[in-house]
Amino acid sequence: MADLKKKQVKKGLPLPWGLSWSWILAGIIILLIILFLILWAGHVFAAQKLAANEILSKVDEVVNAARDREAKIKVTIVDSQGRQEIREMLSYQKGSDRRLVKFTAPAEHKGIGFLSLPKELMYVYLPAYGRTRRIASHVRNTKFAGTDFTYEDMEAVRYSEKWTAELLREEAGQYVLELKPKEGTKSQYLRMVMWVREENFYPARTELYDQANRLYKILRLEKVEKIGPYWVSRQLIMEDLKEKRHTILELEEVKFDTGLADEFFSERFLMR
Amino acid sequence: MELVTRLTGWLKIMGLILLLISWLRPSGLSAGEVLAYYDSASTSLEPEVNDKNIPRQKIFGEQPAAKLNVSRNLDFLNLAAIDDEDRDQAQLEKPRTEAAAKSKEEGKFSIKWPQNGPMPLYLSARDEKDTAKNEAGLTWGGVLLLDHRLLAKAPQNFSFKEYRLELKAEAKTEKTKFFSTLWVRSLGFTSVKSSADLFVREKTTPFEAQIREAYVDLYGFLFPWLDLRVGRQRIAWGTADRVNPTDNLNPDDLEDIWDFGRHLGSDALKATCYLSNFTLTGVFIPNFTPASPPLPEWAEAFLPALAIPGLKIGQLRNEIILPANNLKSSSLAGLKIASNFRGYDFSLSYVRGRDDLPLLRDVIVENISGDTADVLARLVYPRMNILGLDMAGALAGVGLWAEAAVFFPERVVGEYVFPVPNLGVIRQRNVALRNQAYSKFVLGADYTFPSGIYLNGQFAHGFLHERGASELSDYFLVNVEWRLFHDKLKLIPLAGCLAISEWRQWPDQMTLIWMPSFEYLPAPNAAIAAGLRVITGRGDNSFGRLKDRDEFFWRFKYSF
Repeated sequence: MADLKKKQVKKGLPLPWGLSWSWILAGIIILLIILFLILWAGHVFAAQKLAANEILSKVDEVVNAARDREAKIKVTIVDSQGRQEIREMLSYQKGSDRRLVKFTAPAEHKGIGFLSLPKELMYVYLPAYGRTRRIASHVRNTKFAGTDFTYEDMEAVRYSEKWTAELLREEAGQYVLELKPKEGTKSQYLRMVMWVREENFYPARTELYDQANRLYKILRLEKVEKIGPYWVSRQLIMEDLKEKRHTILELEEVKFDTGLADEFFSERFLMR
Repeated sequence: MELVTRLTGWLKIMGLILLLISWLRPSGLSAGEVLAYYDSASTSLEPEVNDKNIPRQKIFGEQPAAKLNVSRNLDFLNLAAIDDEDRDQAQLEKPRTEAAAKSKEEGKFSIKWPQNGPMPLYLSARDEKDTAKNEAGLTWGGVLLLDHRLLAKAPQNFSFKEYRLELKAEAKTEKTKFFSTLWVRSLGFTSVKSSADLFVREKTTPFEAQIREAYVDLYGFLFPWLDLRVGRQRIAWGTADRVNPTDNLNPDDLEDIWDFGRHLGSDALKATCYLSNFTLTGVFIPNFTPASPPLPEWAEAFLPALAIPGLKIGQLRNEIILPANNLKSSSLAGLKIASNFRGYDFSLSYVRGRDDLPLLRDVIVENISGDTADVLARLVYPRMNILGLDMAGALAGVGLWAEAAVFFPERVVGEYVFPVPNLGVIRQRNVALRNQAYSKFVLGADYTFPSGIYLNGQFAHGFLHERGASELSDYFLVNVEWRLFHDKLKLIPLAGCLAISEWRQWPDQMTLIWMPSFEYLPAPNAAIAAGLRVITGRGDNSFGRLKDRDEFFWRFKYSF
């Protein structure tokens, strides 16, 4: 009776294909390790993705920190031969989706106004016609008043609403993010690579890639300084690598939080 | 009783004037307002007001340099130290005092004392923003335009010449704006026919001046939501490009038919109320002004043709009968309500106006001699009530607009008067215009392709000179622009119009107009343009009558 019991224990349950319990145990351990690695990698990946998007959200917070902004802007267009053209405009902005721009020089552009409102409502005012004209979003890819900035570049944008970020690396005190458009975002750019200053989350440089994934333009944000509680770049340079020319926007007089009402961003004030 | 009524009237006028004065009064800094403080305990502040009504504070300082904190945002302040002799700021900028301090920075700035030892200085401040708000600085600019045209057909005569100087002046405060545009120009050619004409400047160098616009805007008049514009002004209604059936308040300016859509200014009062998502505009034009007619060689396209069956017209005289010069007959008025709904702009308008092109009402045949007769034509400007509707928006990135107007003309009855031998004069009633409503409309779209090519297309039922349902033609208008070299060069290979006056007689009743051109910007503010205008067509229709007037043009424009 006792021998019979020993035999049963020694023999154990029959296993197919000659597998032993040792192999099964080893397999389970390997599977657990793989599962752990997958979960860990996913966790790390998610953490990294979150970090990149957090950085982008902070960029939005810093860039759009003020309730409103008034600025006198000098625009210098420099062509491939070094010839310059100067334009001047007044720019008013509230939040990230209301902007009014009025040209003050040169004479051929003086009085022309541009109004951008939420939900892609855009109007242009041409003094010669004495009325505003609605313009559709097809102009977003066209150059703004002959500069190297397109209408899309001139939009005040909350990046995190339209772009998803991935942290590529950190270098010289800057985060390097790759931005790709979220589903439903229409952009002339396939992707962007943005350098963000770690000290204040203000962008330093953005490379813009066209739909063929070629480096098309580079935007540099220079002379970053703090005015009151807000960081601002007083000089933006957009370089067009294809055309070998660039445009410099210099913010000569900047005022924050002057109390611009929503009503200011209307056809009424565009025509004044 | 009459005296009391008069006094009441005068009091009302005085009250209105006082209200206007109080409304226009500058709102600068108030006297004694604390502008700044000196951070040394030994410094005393004595707010006071100088004779220029600029608030200032007295500071006694002994240190060679000191820090000053300002209690208001310095963005709005222009600070300067003034010496005890109350010298003005210009003198203060001299090195003697070295005390002028001007800063755009917020919070703190330094002031350097002019000399060692005690010396009183006054810190004076003017709110620059308020100053700018209430002191209207005059700015001016303008355009020099040279426009020449040459007929393509031999002997290639010049068909048009205009040397125009547009002068624009603007004076702006926060609550008011004055704006004017004056045209000084030479239009047409020397028309000397005798030596006596050489002494007539108008014949040697045709010259004229026009006040195109001169108005004053009063922003926030009486109420924050009300703007008023008084004076000669352009009131542009409608969303379509240049062909606007709802744009009926200003008289048409048809002098240059290639610049169609141009209007004269009207001496008018316009009030605009901005209420939430709605804009309500009311316009009153006390006096009727007729349209400016096309130049004689183009007139046959726009003005009514006169023909008498069986007779050739010898001497043709015409008599324009303007509306009676009173409020009821001469005035025009309009009302428009506009809003945005789900991303689309809509407006509904009503105009009680007049047709600004003359309508042939009476034909009086005189002096028949053989098969020729002299004729007197009487022309009138019929009353029109016009209901308009327009919209503008975008769909999938494509710009869209539509505009329609229903015209309700008054019935105009005239007469034909014929002298008949032995029978005397026969008078025949003539219904010149029926009081039947008709409508004009425009549908349009535009798009910019990634290559930078801009396409604009419109379909219009009824042009600006057409009236009556049976007289309206259909027009397909297209404009293709290609901007190159960063807007330095604009090519317009395809611009023009296909006009079909009668679909049942297609293609025997049509006109095709093709206007290729280019514009080059050789320097800032300068533009050179040149092109061709080709008119071809079949049948007897407005533009078809002009098919022998193909022309070249070149134009130079400089803005300053």
